[in-house]
Amino acid sequence: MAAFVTKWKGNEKIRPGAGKARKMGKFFKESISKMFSLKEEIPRSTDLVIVGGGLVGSAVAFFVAHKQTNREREIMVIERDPMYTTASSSLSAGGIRHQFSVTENVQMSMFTTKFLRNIKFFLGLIDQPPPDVQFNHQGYLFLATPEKAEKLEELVKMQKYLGAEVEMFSAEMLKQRFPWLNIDGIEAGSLGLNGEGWFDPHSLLAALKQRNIGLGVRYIDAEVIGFTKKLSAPETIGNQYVLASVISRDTDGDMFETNCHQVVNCAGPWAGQIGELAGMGTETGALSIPLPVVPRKRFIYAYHCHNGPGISTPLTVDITGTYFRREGLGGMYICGASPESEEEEPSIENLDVDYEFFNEKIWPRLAHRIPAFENIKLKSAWAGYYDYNVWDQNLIIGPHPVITNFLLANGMSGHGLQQSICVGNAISEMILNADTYTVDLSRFNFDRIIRREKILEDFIV
Amino acid sequence: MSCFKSLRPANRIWSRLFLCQTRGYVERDPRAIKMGDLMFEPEYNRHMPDDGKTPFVNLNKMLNVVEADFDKESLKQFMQRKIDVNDIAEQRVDAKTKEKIGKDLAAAYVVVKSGGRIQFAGMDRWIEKKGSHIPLPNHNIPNLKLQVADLTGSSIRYEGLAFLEGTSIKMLILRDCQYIDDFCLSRLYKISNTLEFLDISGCTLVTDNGLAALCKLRNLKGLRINDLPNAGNKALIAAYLLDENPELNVLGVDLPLDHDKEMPETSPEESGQYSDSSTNSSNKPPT
Repeated sequence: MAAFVTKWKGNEKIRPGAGKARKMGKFFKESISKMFSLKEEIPRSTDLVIVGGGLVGSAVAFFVAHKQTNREREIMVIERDPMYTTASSSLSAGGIRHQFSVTENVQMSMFTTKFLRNIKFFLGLIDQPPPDVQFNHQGYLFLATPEKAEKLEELVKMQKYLGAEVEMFSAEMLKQRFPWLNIDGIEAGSLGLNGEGWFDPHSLLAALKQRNIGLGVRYIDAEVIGFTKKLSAPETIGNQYVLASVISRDTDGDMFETNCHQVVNCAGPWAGQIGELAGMGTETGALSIPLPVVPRKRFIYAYHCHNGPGISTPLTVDITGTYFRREGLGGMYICGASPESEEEEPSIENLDVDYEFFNEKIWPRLAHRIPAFENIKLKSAWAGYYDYNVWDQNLIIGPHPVITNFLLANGMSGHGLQQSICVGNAISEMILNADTYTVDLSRFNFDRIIRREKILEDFIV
Repeated sequence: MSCFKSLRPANRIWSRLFLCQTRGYVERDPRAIKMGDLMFEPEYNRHMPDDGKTPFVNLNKMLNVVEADFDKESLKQFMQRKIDVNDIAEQRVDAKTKEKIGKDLAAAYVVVKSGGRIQFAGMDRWIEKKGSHIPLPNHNIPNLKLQVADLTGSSIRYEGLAFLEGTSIKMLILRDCQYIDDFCLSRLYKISNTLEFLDISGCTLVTDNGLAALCKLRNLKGLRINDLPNAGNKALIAAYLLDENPELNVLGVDLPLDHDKEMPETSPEESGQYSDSSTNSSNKPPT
């Protein structure tokens, strides 16, 4: 009997996971205090732990819970910001597009559109109105200079081959269709005709969370502060190990340990820290490579224009990388841009907004491209983090080669909203079926980072 | 009397189910993106959950000789799912048929099979299903253009609207279609070159964003949007659509007063306007 219950040999303050014992006095003290406190206990063991409860984490939880037949796996989502105040999911501009240069990115966004179209089937509760994500169907418009127009045409052909509904427009056709556009310096543009647009990411997140709770997923308000490791077998190949348990700290400061079978990293911008806790970037060999995901701050500015572009305005991306879209029906618009170089990257310490960036970089370019925006009134602005993959700004998905039960789903670098649903489906296929087959994402595994190969995306906004 | 089309018994859930059962084996579309077989098993197919206790105490499992979910809502969902799959399979057109008989005739087949009626260019009578007989030729007729499609009260869906591709429809009536939502309205861009009249009154799933998606129909001349309970701001969106498309005539909504534009005459709702073929012959498209 003694072999199954081990004496806890760690930090005394951590409530141990299943199978480990504590002193009897401590146990009774804890039981009595539990009787008088209202908080729910963090379980001592579970099957699947998802670090991060944003769109990606909730999508992973949803697909695993939806596909399994008998609640075989207990799923636990650990999210340290339950009100999603700083979560990238809520602060996102909300755009979804099919115009990418990497084929898997196109397929992933198309999967998300198909999911949103059938949202009543997936996330609808019986006899209640279907969850409404406020999907605006106006599409994305990418503008191209004469040098890039030919490349854009080839990419549009590739996207059409994959089933995306995108069309090329010449500058004259664009001027006819969108009279507010200044086509100076523009040779062509590609417009998404169906399935592209923007929506409210927070309502999608709320619908996912509600459905997950109905399917039996536990959402824990805690922060992951460590993992414990164990060797996966007595004779290991190389130095492979598995994560045996997750140590989390809740809002009161108490630490709890939860045994787990698999861990999925959906921590978004903070995925690098979670990878470090799991052991990436610490030792030699394949473990010496840290997860190359860092937070990068991006701003969104909301302004009002009296007689701006009308209702058919797509989310327009200028040749300079500045984008804008209509917000609501009252003449409000939002805009943003990525900084041009690494040196101009804003500090990630807090979510304060830099208005100089708007005045110096964004507004002049917008006013040049859309003359009506010379007279605008800036109303508000906010900032959010991209989960920026410093290696090649594309998704990293799949199990780590050394930590065999640690699955990664990070680094979408601003496309997290569009790819979250497909990433959730792909992770669920990896867990349940040991392969991805809806959209083949085997190219995006962590091995490409070890082999120093890049998959580069041209259309970065 | 075709004015009672929307009350046809085939739209009630139990008789739709009966029709599904008698169809027999329904083929899956091989081009569909495989979402995994397990995806299409909603709650009714799940077993009773395990209590997590020892077998002696796990009464749920012991008493569950037949593991089935007899909850009324789950049964309704099960039947609705069967109807959905059957509808989608019926409303699609495979490429071979399209090649053989041409796009317009294939589109006509879909519309008529779903319970709607059509007019070709140059004719002035409606073609609709009589019982289960579809009075359309099954060989290619050159220069046959589909011009009017009336899908009042039918169960046409997003996947079913694929028939629009390659046609030159001038008038499309989607009145009282319970499955038409915003995504379907966005899909109408395929006939934006030729579509001149659209009627989507009574489609409860349409919201403001769906009406905004109608901006893609650049040549639209008439739009009827009565009875859209979920589109609260339809008057405002109609004003925005008029800004971009001055030739548009929006019916069924009180447009906001604007001293730049004239107050349009709001036509009172005529319930029999589209139901009687004799009055519609005056609206027939020009030959």
